[in-house]
Amino acid sequence: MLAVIGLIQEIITLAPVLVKTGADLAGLWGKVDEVMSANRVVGDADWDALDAQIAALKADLAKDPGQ
Amino acid sequence: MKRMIVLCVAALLVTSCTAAKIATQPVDMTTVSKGAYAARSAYEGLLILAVAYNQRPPCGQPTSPVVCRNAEVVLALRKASEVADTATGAAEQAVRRVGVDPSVAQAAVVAAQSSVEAFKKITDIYSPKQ
Repeated sequence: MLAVIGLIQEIITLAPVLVKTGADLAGLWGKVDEVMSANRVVGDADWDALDAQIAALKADLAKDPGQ
Repeated sequence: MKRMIVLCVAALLVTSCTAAKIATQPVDMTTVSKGAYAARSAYEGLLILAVAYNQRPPCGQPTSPVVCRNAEVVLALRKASEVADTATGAAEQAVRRVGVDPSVAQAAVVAAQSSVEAFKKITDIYSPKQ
């Protein structure tokens, strides 16, 4: 019983992270698909948007989220 | 969960396919710039997984869940991320620079793809898809 409760707690703890991760990856993939299928050199706006997202993620990875 | 794995594989396939295409065709800046973009995007995808790992509860405490974050793993992820950021950033700068020799830009893209593959090896082991 305790093991099941522990497992449920883990899923609850992780679920928001995983849902967000899945949504972030889906958004990224949509953008990559759009840029790759366009018949042009990658534009400045595409690069700038990508760099901004990377900078935000790098800041998150550098953080110590604590408990 | 399955969707996440499919997305990761798809992102890396685009990178690999672009690399193969670059190797067999005359150097063309549209293709090279897309190769750089794919590498930098794949890096972003791996960063998303690394951040998700970093948001787990810490390991090594009495109340730690089985799925937790190990401080040493976080350091390894940060280190690999820095290397991939530098290499993919260099590829981006190479393809964005006006008048750059396409073969020089292509070499930067190949280096960027290798750095992303190295980062992927670490996230494959520790990503939240476990």
